[in-house]
Amino acid sequence: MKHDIHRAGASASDEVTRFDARAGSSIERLFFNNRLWVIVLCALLTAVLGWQALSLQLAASFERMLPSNHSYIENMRAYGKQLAGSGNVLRIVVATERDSIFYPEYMETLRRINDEVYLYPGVDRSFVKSIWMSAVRWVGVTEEGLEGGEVMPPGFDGSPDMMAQLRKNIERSGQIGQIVAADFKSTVIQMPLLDVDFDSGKPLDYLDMNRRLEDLRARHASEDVRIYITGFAKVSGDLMAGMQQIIGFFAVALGICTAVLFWYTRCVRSTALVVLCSVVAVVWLLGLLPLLGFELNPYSILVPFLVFAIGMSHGAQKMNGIMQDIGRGAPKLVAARLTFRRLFLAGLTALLADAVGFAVLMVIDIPVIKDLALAASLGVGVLIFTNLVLLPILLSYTGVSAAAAVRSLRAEAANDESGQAVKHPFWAFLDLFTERRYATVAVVVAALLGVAGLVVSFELKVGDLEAGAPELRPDSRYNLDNAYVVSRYAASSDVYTVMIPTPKGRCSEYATLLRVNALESQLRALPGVESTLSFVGTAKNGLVGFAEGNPKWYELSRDQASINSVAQYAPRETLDAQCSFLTIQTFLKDHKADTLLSVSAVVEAFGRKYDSEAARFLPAAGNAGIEAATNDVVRQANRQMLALVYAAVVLLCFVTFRSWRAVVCAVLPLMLTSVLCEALMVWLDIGVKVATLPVVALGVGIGVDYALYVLTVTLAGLRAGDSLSGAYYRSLLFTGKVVVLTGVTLGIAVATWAFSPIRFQADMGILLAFMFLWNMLGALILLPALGHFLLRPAPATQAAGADPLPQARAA
Amino acid sequence: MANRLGATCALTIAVGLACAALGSFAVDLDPLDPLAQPSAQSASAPAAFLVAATRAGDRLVAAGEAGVIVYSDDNGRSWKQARVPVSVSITGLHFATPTQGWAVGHSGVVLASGDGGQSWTLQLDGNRIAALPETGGEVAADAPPANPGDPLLDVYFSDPLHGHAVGAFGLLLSTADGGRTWVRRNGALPNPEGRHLYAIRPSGDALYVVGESGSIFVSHDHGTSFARVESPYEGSFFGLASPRPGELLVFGLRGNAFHSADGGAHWSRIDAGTGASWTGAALLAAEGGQPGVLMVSQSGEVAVSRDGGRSFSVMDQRLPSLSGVVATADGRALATGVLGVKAFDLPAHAGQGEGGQGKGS
Repeated sequence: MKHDIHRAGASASDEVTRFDARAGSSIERLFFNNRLWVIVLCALLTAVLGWQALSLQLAASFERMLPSNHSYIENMRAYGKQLAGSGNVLRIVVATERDSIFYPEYMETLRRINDEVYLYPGVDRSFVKSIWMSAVRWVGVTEEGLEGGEVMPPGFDGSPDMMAQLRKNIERSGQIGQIVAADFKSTVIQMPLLDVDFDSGKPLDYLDMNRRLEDLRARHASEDVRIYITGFAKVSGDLMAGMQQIIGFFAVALGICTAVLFWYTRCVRSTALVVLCSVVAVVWLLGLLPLLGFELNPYSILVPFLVFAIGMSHGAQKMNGIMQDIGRGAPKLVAARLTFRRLFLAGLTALLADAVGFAVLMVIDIPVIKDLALAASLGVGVLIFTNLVLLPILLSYTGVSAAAAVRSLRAEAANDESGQAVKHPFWAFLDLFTERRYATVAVVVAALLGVAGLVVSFELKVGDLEAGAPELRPDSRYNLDNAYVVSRYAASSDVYTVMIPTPKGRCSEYATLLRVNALESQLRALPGVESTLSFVGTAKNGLVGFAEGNPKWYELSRDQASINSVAQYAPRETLDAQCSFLTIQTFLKDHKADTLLSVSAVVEAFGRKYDSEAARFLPAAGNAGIEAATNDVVRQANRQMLALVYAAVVLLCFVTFRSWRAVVCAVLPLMLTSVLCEALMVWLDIGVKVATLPVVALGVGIGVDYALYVLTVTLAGLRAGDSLSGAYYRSLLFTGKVVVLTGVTLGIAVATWAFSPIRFQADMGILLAFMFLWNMLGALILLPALGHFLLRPAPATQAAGADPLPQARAA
Repeated sequence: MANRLGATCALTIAVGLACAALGSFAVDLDPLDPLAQPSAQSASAPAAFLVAATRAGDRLVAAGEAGVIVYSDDNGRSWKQARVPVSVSITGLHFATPTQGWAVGHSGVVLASGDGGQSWTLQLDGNRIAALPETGGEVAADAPPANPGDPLLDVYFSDPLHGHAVGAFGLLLSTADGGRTWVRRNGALPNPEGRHLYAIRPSGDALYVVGESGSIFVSHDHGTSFARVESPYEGSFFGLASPRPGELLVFGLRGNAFHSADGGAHWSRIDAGTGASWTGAALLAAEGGQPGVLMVSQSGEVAVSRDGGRSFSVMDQRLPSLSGVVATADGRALATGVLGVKAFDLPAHAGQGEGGQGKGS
């Protein structure tokens, strides 16, 4: 053992003294013989892309969050015209603190708000509903039969008579619980939004919409009047507004990483360069995105941070290698080249694994995730240049501080001086896992954890698990607003719309309505369904209306003429103008995956049984319908994606190590982490959804870096004839140190997100921190333990083969 | 027989299917026809639109949309759903004994229960009604034929054998064998316009029927023949109650309610201060000789009378739209309506008769 370490240290020194500038790969010669050009080129690129990055837009497009090829969404698109106003709806609740809304000032405020928001860009004006909109009508019953009119009495002047008339109209409009609260203390302005503004043809600007809404709230809210706003557009707007805080957390994380790196190196120069190169990578990425026509959405905002984090990890490895070589006495250029030579391949493989891991996210057929995957892959690709090439070249000019260089070798030096096997206690502890006893314990514990984690992970749910907008904290302004609306209005914010196309003019046939009625009652019988709305309800109420309001007539009439005569009173969202399309709007208690699954199952089974030429029953529109489709896609993609990520990682590891045994050592710890991460999600009540899906893939992608760095050096040692313990201990001193460094810094840095006001960032922070740390432990403990059982030193003859690592040369 | 086939064909045309000229009745129905579909069992049945409420002994029974019938043996705290062979809306309920009861509803359905409302069997439907010969006397020649889809709207059995059901367009059915056979007797009522008949209830030995356009009829021979009672109102009556023999309360459209202490000879108007239609009423146990009465309205008001129905006061509580009400065995009350069953406490006796005063007419 003592001999091994002595030789390892000496071999590096030998190599430093015998360095040949003409040696090395053609890539190395290309870069290092044109160092200045590389730097100039990078500086230019940074300037150009940095300028480009300024034009990067934040956006949260509703369309791009839809799984476009899912049958539900295809159905929704096919009937988009008839469906207008069922998906992306903004609800503005204007509430009074007084006893009721029936006083002139309230009505005036409501009218002004109504007139203002009606003109906002992107509003689908023909479907706006509020008591000030003429489309909102009442139907009344008198001795003579049915009467109807606008809810807002014509010539409304706020007088007590008019106020009484309005109240009466509201009571018979069927809008109580829909756009007027049952306690008469608030009303809703309901605005469907179009993804593309009708007037300008531009995509809807959610940030601008959010600013308008907040401004509206600030101007009209008063002692008397409170304004509550819900809807996808508000969530998106709040998220985008919250991105400034994300940037704040980015800064905190960057600060922590820099501080820890400096504490480790005690070298301003090298710390600054590693951070600089990582930031350059982020700048390039942010510049490339608008160039390629991409925007940053609330999901892909995470990518720059990940790129920075990965960059720090690789940069620290390069810098550490160079520092150690300088410590051994090499000139800075030689040190840089040697490190490049030793670690470029490992770094490249790791980054390629990351890039492939992210690219695999593209199997998820949701545009925002594809954007995220592409941005992440691009960012990691950029890192190959900035942190594997530019950083060593910059370090070859600046070198590192002499004191830091000496310090970096202290662990090795200590052994050399004492002449005894005095190892650094921490590294020595990790080295124990290469011995049978500790290795067995580690493998058994890992297996137990794996089995336990697997059992728990079967509980993993897909989709959002909490009421309101799960992207935001339960106590966020938005979710408080949402809770207010849900508690006071029968129509919940989770709507699952069944589409029922029929031949033109035949939507109201009795046989068709019988089917609608049957499906509706099946849906209403589900525990997750609060209520349903369809033309059948109108038809039944219509019969009551024809019979002077006697509730005994509440039934779907067999008389086609009386059904048809009710059609004019049907809410527009339940029936189209050509009578060729019906909907059932299902209002849900929540949007948990199980609720959505139960609804989809009923609708699909009903369609299989009763679809005919006269009517088909198609899922699904409405925000809950979209979420059902998204969950479906996410559920399918989740396993498929993990399989692909692992296939890619296994392949890349095999290409690098050329040893199946080594692949097993590298990949098994990752799998354990993936399983435990899913168990953690179960424990924390986090479902697999658009926002968390990438975390699992990213965890594997970044986790493999640690294994690649540790195992590359260990395997080289083994091939050189070292014992496993010797090779592993050497790799700990060389790359393992930095694995600990980056694992800890990144873990701490992303853990700060747990304090984020945005819920999904907090979730992601916790999960990513867990994955960073656990993958680090896996690479340092489980990997050598598995190595004990799987890896053997090579016979001495083989060790003389071409090997890029220094000790191989020395052997 | 030809008549019956014709009716079946008319129905099947109405539901949009080709009419099979021959073949049994059930085959012709759309599989989702409410006459072919048993009422679906659902945990939310007590929250369905329940139109009617009554008592079978101490048991509460409520019925309404989609053939839902629910019953409670703990005064409305918990409910069970009855097995019902059809899923038409139920409009009327009556129990002749604590175990023997009848329910009527849309598509001319008559259901009977022999176990206090837990399970029901179909005795009659609109297709069979349409095939019944008219035996009630001379009906106007141009009176519309019975349409199989027309609803029955109320039912009353004076004993387990003798009962009547009334319905839309002047439909009157009678049985003398507990509903095994029925006769159609529209002509027994002087109702040439074929007004809808909404309720049938006795007062002492007399039997009253109220309905559309101020219709009030009385029979003094157990329903064999009816005479028209002069009406205090031209709008529709939705129901009636008899606090004591000879005393009548009729109520209906737009808050109109009238009390008579002499079997309908004189009426006094009841002003309870609401413009919403009264849809149901229930008698309360007599307190100090005066029976109490509850009325419920379409806009969810509950009005209480402590003076035998002469005056009412509207309770403070406002419920969703109501259509049925019944006193519970433990001194409370149960209302039914669009949002299902709702049990509530009655106001203390002291406040009787504050809200409205009976006015002589």
